[in-house]
Amino acid sequence: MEIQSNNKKYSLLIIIINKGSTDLVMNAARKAGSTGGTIAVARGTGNPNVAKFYGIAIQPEKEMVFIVVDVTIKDKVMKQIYDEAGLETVGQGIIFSLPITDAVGFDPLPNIEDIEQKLLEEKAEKAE
Amino acid sequence: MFNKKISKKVQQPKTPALPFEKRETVQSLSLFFTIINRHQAQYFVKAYQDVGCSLSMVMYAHSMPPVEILQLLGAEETKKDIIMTVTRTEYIPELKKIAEERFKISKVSKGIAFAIPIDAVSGIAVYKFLADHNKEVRANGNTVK
Repeated sequence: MEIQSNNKKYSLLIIIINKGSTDLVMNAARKAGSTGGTIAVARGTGNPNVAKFYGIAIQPEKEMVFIVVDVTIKDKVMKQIYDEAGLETVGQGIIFSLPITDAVGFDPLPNIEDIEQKLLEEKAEKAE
Repeated sequence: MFNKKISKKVQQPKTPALPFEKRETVQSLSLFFTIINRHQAQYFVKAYQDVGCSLSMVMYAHSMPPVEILQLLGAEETKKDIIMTVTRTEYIPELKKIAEERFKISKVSKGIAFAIPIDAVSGIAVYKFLADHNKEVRANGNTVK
């Protein structure tokens, strides 16, 4: 029997933020209903002229936060993160989202009793 | 030296080359993310290569656990590997199956995987590499010029 993934639609949020500010992002995301996230270390190479013009100091040390969220709460999560870790905060975070077409591993492992029940039902259907 | 006759080259009228997408069938590409525990990446990279993926990149990362675990155990971070694989979209069901089967083995091998569509790539050579464009040619036993 094939165990199907659920039919929920997900989006991937990528947040590029100054090093050490990932807690801001994760706290904001949790407030808006997201559960977990994955953090990778990165290095920023922004245009220094643009940064000078807008008065932003570019820190080369960055962190990237990957959060997969349900599309129904995506806007809420993005807004919350922007409010708490956006460009006007210490984190100077940049947030963008990408559509996810296929996803695996988001469901809890299925209960064996449920699988057995389904198998019995399938057998009964075939017998009929 | 100066008396040498300069022969004029007769220029052949150039026929405009057809764009690549009109000459060949273009496969759509996807970026397949796999996020698993540290040191679990090797299996996935090998398995994806066997399917026909040209490029996999492994990135070190750490995860922030879900709220329930955070409340129970405190702020616990776990080391993770992120695999980014560029592949043909038609391979995605097969990659999903590989990941799903592996995630079922044990708690240690649990992870998540998802696919993101790729809109564009720069350069035909890059596309050919990423999509393994000559796979069909190779399969017929021919060589690529």
